[in-house]
Amino acid sequence: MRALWLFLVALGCGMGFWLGRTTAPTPTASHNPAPQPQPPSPSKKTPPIENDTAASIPPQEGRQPSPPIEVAHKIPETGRESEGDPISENLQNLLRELEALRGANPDDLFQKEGFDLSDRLLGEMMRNDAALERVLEMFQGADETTAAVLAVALGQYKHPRIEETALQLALSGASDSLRLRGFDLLDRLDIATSETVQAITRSIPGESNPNILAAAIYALPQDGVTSPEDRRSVLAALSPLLMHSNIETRKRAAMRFTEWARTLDEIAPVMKALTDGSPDVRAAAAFALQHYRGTEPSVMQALVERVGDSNEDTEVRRQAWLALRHFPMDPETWTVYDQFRNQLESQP
Amino acid sequence: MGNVWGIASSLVFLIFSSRVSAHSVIEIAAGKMVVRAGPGPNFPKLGEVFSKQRYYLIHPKGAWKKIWFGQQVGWIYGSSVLVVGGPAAKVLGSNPLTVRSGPSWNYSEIGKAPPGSRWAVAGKSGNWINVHFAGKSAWMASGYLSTSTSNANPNANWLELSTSSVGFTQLPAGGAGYYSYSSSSRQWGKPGMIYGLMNAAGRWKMQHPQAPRIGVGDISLKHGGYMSGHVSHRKGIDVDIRPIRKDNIQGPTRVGWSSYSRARTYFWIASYVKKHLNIQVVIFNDPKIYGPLWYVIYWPNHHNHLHVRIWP
Repeated sequence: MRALWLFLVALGCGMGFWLGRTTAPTPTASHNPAPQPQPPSPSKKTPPIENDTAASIPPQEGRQPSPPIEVAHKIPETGRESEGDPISENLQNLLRELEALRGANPDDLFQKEGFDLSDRLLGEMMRNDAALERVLEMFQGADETTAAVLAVALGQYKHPRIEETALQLALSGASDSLRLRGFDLLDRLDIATSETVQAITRSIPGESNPNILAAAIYALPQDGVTSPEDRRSVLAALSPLLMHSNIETRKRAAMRFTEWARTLDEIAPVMKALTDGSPDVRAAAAFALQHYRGTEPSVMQALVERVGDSNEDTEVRRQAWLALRHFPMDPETWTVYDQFRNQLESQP
Repeated sequence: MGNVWGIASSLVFLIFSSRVSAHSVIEIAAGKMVVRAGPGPNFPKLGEVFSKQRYYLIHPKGAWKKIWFGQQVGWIYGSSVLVVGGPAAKVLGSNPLTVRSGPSWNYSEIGKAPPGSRWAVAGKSGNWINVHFAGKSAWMASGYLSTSTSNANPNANWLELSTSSVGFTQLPAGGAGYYSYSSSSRQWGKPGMIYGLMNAAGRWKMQHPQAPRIGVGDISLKHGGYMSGHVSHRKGIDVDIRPIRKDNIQGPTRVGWSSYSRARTYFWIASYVKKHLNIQVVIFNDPKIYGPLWYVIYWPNHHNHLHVRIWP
């Protein structure tokens, strides 16, 4: 009886130890219908939500702190720390899950499966360089579905190896689909180095595939300061595209133009795009002029003409109206602006 | 089972949203109904509405209906309402509108109607519109309103705006203030969606350079239509966005996690999303966000992402 009692106590202790081990929950796009808050770990007391300061979260037990990473791109650790072998068991499991997605139509990729996997892969890559190399290798040879999942993970991690691979694929990929893959990854990474900007702008003039051209335009960085020389290179590459035969090309070039164009002379091609034959291009040009930092009356006048033209496409008028806000309006311009605002507000 | 529930509830939302997008004027059919601050009996009571009074229905949530009640939205329970339609007035501008007990500036103030709020028109007297406000008959100056059948604003050009023919645009996958956590093929949308998101995220980055970037998920496919995992997301007017974390880390979080920042997420919705996108509804299951923000509602499975829908 005593032995039985001791056995039961030991069993209870063992179960308690096993249940009390700390493992971080895997963030998922779960469809759990319960709206009740779930604590992240059964063994930890959840701090009150109202205590919403930027205080650092204490490291979880048994885990090593992440290597220092640029704050804006830091991601939470998901899964356990890799141990010993370069290709950890965790990564192997993740790669097996990826393998199960092989061959599925990328458009059918179910959000929960595909992008939860991306988050976990990202965590693994950021902890383990060998994992990063393995993922990069897979990315270059994967089918479209697998590549889509990997791109989401890779695109959130600014690492020189990823940047190098993206550029190499974009410029020298063996097929159009690989080049598109490279440009898409460059787009995600948003790299503002001179090397990347110059490489992309050099690839644009001779490109005949409109899909690759469209991807290359988006691959130019949105969020970074570049040198005057880089700025001139980009404008020289984009300007001819505003007269390209393909609407999507003209639209994207217009959309991105004022991220680089500053002076009245430099934005002249976008002003011309305000009268393009396609409303998509005109709307993109009007959107671009929302980011024009000057207050030239001629620019304001061009926008007023779009807003005040009742035959103009509503979306074009709306984008031009938004751009007008940044200008010091005279009474006539204000009347046009105010009238359109009333029309917008009165829509159901 | 979770997936069946998720798809079923989303289907209900899609059906309702196609009707709710027109929004409705309802008339109280019961003697009186209690109005609460949220969709449940435990929410504090705000007041009461009475038989034959008309209010503007924002959104139904099962048996709970969200209405413009007074100085805030309120919720009423039950089926004792009639959807009657009829004219509704919207408060224009960015300032609250004083509501009075009679059709003149000399009457006493009852309260203030928030900008953008909508009220069922019960009558008219000169330049004053009669509505029901917080359970009482009340009057608003028509010069600060737009109505669905007539506009008292003398500056308005009353030609209805035509439907735009501009097609979908793809969101650049990386940009100022945001990152993509979805495949590029799933991030096409109406220009108002794409340009609005880029503007909102760009301002977020400019004004909060140390804050984490906004995670943008699924929008629609290039030509719209069915998208796996969603009942909506077919017309380029829906986007999934991650809530914002406290710890400056770029990644997923959800309501209830210690990493979730209610303050940042509230601020992002109220000051950026609302300002730069023509919001129809936001779905997000934090009661301290969907309570005070009238355009935010609760719906199952929306604790780990915001669903933002714009007007087409």
